[in-house]
Amino acid sequence: MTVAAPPDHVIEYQGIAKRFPSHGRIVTALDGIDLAIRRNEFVSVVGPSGCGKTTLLRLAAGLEPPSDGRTVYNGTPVERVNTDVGYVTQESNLYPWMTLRQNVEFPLEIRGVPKAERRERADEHIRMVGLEGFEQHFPYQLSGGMQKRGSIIRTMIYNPDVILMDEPFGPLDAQTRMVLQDDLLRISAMRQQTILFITHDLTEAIALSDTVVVMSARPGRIRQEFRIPLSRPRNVFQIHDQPGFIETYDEIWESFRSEVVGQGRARPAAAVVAG
Amino acid sequence: MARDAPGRLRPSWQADGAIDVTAPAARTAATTGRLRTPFRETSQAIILLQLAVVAGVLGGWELGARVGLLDPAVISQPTAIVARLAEMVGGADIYDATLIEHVWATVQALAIGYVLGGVLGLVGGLAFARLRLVTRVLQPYVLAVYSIPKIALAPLFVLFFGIGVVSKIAVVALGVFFMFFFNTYAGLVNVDEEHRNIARVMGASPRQLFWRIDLPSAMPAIMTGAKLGVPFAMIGAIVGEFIAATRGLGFLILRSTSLFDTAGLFATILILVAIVWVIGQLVSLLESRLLRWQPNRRQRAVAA
Repeated sequence: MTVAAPPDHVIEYQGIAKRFPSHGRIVTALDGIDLAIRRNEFVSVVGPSGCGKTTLLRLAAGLEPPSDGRTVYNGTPVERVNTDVGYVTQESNLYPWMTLRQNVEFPLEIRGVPKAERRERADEHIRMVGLEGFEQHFPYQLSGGMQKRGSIIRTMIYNPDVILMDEPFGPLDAQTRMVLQDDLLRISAMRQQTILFITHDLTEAIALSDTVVVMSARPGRIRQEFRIPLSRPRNVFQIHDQPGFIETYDEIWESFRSEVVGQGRARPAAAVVAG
Repeated sequence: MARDAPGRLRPSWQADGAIDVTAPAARTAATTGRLRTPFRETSQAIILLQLAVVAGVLGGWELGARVGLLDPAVISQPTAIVARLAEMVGGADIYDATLIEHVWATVQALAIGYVLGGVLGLVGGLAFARLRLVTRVLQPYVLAVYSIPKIALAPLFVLFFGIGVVSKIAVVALGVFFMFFFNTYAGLVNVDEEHRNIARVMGASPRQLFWRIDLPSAMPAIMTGAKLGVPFAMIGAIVGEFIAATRGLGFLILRSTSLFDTAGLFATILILVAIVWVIGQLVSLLESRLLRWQPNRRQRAVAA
């Protein structure tokens, strides 16, 4: 769908390097990153753990500066916290002292949206992910999957230009994961959203994305970019049966495997990647 | 002798719990029903035993005093204490004032000092959490002052503020200050950075960050300070009255001791305990209001 559109890049990583001091040594987390994220695309970044995937998101959110290069957002270099994006972290990070509804309303509260409208929009989003009846619950009273849903709609509710998601479904069981992946597909299709999604699960990346970017082990470099030819709407529950899935999977896995194996983690493909 | 002991002596829920693990699902309801009753019996038994301990101590004390094993002039005896307590609560004049007036003198200084020390501690902890330079410069001095036993400073306060309620308030406030100060500081310094980051990306202003993220995050720690502050406040008030006062529970303790009114001394201590308990309950109430989002607290509230 983006083929005909002009190559409008929302996020551009230009010659990014990121180095951290660690135990008296300098560790290079990212090196020579050039990557452009097109508007309204769902882009997943896969790579072995510790390859600096999370840092990519933090750079785009303006939470960290790069050591070299620059991150350009809508044509402007990111130099402070980027409030045009939404950031969904690995942990659900709902605020424990707020009820589900207060959490979901919070971005609107920050923006000074009147209380009645805030409430209405929050409840609409809560219904959208099937959490009605839990508005007054505190996060500890919600299951992991429910918390995750809450943190996703808390980001969706203020319609950020881009949503940055850091392995949002990581700690969930396989069943809940698929349900949430399905939720995410539905919601993101509904509103033409740019999503930059970090995962180490190749199946998940293929199921959700228009483009999959494979990163190398530390120092993280962009290894290869793949367009995902699967048609939409997709069915995450039976993604393996979708025409083209196996071929796409095998093709990306070839690129991905050498990185994973390079880390001394050679295992059957299904175990490592789909795990 | 151990034949039939397990069923009776071992907490019966333990035995039942073991059965429960292997019990088929169909029996769960019945098992739960059986689990409850023995457990309640057990906690009742414990309360009974606790009462027995109190009765034993009081009985032994009373008996010892009557038989002449204990000297009532030094250690008094329960019946005398109760009689004196009744007298005091009944409104008798005790050392130139009624009990109410004595209690009021203490509680007033306690309350004012607590609020004053609490607010200053909060603000100080906040400033230290925010201004890293100030913290690094002042840290050793703060720790030095903290290490001084507050009792040692009480006479100094009397010099500063004269004999009266002000010096008493100052002693109370000083003790409470540090409890709030350290806990507020710790609470704010330990705010989850990711919580702040998410709010910042959402566009929260520094003001919103403080009121909606930092302060609620630090609230459990602040409430810990608030609870720890209560006994410190009481110590401060009593010490203040030890040094210079003509009213108050500390004064009562000192006066009754010097006049060998041992029953009066014990009665005063009982009143003191009751006051600390009431204040503790008030703080707990406040805490459960402010921290109702914490899992363990809710469960406890539900269970109660």
